Parts: sequence; structure tokens; C-alpha cells
Amino acid sequence: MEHLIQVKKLSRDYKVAKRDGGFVKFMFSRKYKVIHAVNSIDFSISKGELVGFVGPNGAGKSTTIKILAGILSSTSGAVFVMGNDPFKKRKQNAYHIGVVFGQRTQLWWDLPICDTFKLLKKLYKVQDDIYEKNISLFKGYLDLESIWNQPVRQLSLGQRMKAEIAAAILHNPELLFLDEPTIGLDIVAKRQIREFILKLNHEYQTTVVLTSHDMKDIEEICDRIILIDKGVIVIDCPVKELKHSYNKMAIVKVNLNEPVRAFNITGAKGISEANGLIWSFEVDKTVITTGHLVFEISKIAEVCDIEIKELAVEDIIHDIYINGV
Amino acid sequence: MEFLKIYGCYVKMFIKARMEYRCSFFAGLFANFYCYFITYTTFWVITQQFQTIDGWAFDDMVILYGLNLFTYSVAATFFWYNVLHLEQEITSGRLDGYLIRPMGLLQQLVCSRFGDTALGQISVSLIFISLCIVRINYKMTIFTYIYLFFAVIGGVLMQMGAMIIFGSLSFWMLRSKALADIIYFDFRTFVHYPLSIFPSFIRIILTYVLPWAIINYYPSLIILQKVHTTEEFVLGILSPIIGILFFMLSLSVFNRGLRRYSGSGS
Repeated sequence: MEHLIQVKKLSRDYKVAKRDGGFVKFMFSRKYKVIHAVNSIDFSISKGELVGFVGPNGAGKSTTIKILAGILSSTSGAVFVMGNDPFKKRKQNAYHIGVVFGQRTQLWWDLPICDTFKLLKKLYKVQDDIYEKNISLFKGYLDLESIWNQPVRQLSLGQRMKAEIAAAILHNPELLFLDEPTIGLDIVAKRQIREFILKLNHEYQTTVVLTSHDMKDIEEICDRIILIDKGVIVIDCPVKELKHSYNKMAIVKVNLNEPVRAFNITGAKGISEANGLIWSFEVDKTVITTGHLVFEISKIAEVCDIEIKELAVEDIIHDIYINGV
Repeated sequence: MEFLKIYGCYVKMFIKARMEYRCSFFAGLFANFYCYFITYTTFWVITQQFQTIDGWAFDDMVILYGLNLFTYSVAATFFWYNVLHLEQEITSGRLDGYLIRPMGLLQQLVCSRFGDTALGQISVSLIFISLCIVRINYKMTIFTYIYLFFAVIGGVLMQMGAMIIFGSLSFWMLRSKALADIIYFDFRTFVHYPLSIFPSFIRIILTYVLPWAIINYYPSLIILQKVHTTEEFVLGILSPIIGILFFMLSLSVFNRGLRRYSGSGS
């Protein structure tokens, strides 16, 4: 498969003024501290992949995206986006990428969105037929029809974000960077945006790199997850595999017909509620399967209701943030 | 050409957006018009009281001041808002948004904000300068008109260059407006008056260190036939070329600053 993005030993340092000592000291003699925002990372992304960038705040996600978009230069290492160095060929690269910063608008605040699109059409030299086709696609899938002539400042956050995404892909970029596209949105808007991204990927093979703190986004959109922490890639694997290999625990909750004092099953630690009528078990799946556990329980008492809870990606990531891999 | 088309498109959109706040638009124009109208009349009052300022009558003063204000406000329609005030774009983080577009950063900054308020200064300057040229018509030759045309272009380029340089300093200092206020705005008030009234060190500074006198003083000497020394003549004749060189210098400062921004990213 063709590699759209190749990153080799990429590092990026920031020089930050140390803010210790008094006011006078800070004004006249500053000491600088070097922070490694991104520290020698390697990865490559193929055409059509849906990649989720995950990591705690300040992990280096945005820095990496800014380097890939050509906004920042790298301190060391090599970056290729469609075969070019994005920083040296910034303008050329711009035709092939679309970028959405969830926290910052790129639309024209006082103008209706139709005007912003007309301007972008000129800026990216989009041909008339492609323009018409894309606009009707956006109107259909992102509900832009009803707000087409409204000034951006009157739009709700959800409407605006949909317009932002549409504005970022008007020129049919092969590569789409979404930096927290669903931040602050309600579930309806979130779901609509997720579906649209999937559709875009399906129909145009658009490669999407997405950062989000909402693990639902990652779970539903991405097929690959890259977890960055303190500037280093901690995990880079398919989302399914992450769930599979880190999902060694499950919670099984059973309602019994008659109270039971104690269970003694290896690999499952039980806690009773409601005088032994309800039990929840923490299951170590490497020792015992949930099926076998239920079988063991039913040997002792009749089970009338079962609830099995698997760990969600969010729980897994939370666990990794706190405890490491 | 391509750029002019896009620029025109941006300006059209800008005016459309500005019309959402019609009162503020016209108030801005009017404020700039009458504020500078008063400055011009001040020269009239002074020259009424003292006849001349070191040999410069009212008409001469209008040419001197008008060349400065007119070139400044033409440059300001393109560069005042988002280039000279680059610090706002940097500290707000909007700069990143420009850098993902397939167009040069400086061009986008120029496009992003049309300096509508400077139209007030331009119109008041045009009125005073043309009235004045009619009055001193007996002095004007074909050569003076041609020279005036190039001197204005050179002056505009000098003013643009100054706005670009002082804006670019934000790439290093994050905020540079205060510096621009002192070195550009305050020092330029000297050249509202003929340099001959100041001590010679000020003349040297405003010619060779902060060359604001090249914008209006030396061209005025040529137009008003007040040249006395070879130095004045050379500087006056060369002022359009100095303007071009200064503008080119400012572009390289800007590009160096941009590289530094991408390198520091703060």
C-alpha cells in the first residue's frame, strides 16, 4: 500500500522561559528550558486509513499535526506527506490537506457560509463542477441547506462545526486532519459528524487523522489508534487489537433466585449485594471465561439475570494514562 | 494577476461583512477624515500667523505633509490591520489558520483585512494636495508631475516596508506594536515639518537611520524647487529606488521572521 504519511525519528523541541525567581529576575535574566514536545517518533499512514491520535493534554498530538500540516518545522527527523516535506513545500502541501481546528474557527464570522465557500473556491482553484457536486453533498449530509445564507456568528456550535468540516474538504483533499472536531457538541451533531467522516472515507478514500478526547469518536471512526504520551508513541495498533489485548477484565453481574453466602471460583472475585441475592464478579479472562463462570455459578444457585460489562476503549486508555502500558 | 483577482474577491466580501455594522463603518471613515482635516488646517493657522516655517508657506507644507499622509494611508489600506498588527494574529493563534492555505502568508494577511478606515485619510489628503497643486501650478513642469508619480510610489513602498518590518518583529518579540509606536509613529512626526528647522543630528537620523525623511521631505524639495545641496538632490531623485530597496528588505525580514516562528512555534 502507498504510504501517504511517513514520519521517521521526528523530534520537536520548544524553548520555554523558566518562570522562577522574582519579577526583576524574570525581566532581565531569563533561563530557558528545553521541552521535548515530540521525541523521536516513527510511524507511517497509508491511503484510506482512519487514524486516531490519542493522548493526555500536552502529549504532543497537536504539535505532530501542525508539523504534518506544514505549520511548524521539525527540530530533527524526516517527515513526508505525499512524498514532500510539508514545511518546505507548504503551499503545495496545502492543496492536498484539509485541516479543522475544533477550538478555532476558519469561517468568516460576519458572512454567511456560502460566501466563505465562494472564497475558498477561488483560493484553492476548485473547478465549477467539483464545487457544485461537493456543495450538494454537504447540503445533503451535513444539513447546510437551511443555514446556507446565515451569518456564521448566528450559528450554533454544532452547525458551525459541520460548516468547518465542509470548508476543510471543499477542495477534495486526500488527507484530512481533525483536531478535536467534536469538542463541545451534542450527541446528535457528534453522531452526524462521525457518520459523515466514515462516508467520506468510504467514498473518496480520504485518509483521516483525528485527535479527540472522546473515546467514542475513536471507537466509532478509527480503525487504528496511536497513543502518544510525553512526546513518545506508547501504542500504535488497530483499535480492535487494543480492545482485545488490553481487555483482560470483565465485570459479570448476576441476580440469583436464592441468596448465596460465598463463591469460591478461581479467576473471579465476587462481591455480594442485597444479602447475597446479587453478585458482581471481576473476571480475569486469562484464567476463566465468562461462560464458564456462569456455569460454575449455576451449579450453586439458579441465575435469573446476567449482565456482562466489557471494558470500553475509554477505560483501557484511562488505565494506560495512569499506569502505563 | 491571479492575486489581484483573489484580493478583489476578499475586498468585496469584506465590504459586505462591514456593512453588517454600517454605523461603525461610516463613523470610522468620518473620524479619520475630520481628524486629519484639522491637522491640515493647523498648518494653515500657523502659516497665517508666521507667514512661513523656515521659508515653507502653506502650500509647501501641504505638499510636505500630504506626501507623508497620503503614502501612509495608501500603505495602511493594505498593511495596517493585520501586518502592522501581526502580534494580534500571533497571540490569538490565528496565524496557524493562514498557514494551512495554499497562498503566501503576507498575501493572506493583506487580503484578510481591507483597511477601510484609511479611506478617510486618503480622501482628505487628495483634496488638499490637488487644491494645492492647482495653486502652485505655475511651478509645476511635466518633469515634476512624472517625478511626483514615482515619488508617491516610492513613498508608499517605504511605508509598506516599515509596516512589514515592525509587524514582523512580533515573530521574535510576540508583541512589537509598542516599539512601532515609538520608532515609526512618533519619530515620523518630525517629518511633518521641514527638516531644516531641526539640529543636524536629527536630520542625519531621519535620513540614514530611520529614513522617514526619504518618504516626503526630499521629494518635496525637488517638487518645490528648494534643493540646495547635491546630497538633497541625490536623495530626492533616488527616493523611488530607495523605496523599492526598503520594501525588498522588509520582505526578507518578514520571511526570516516566519521561519523563526515555525521554529519556535510559541
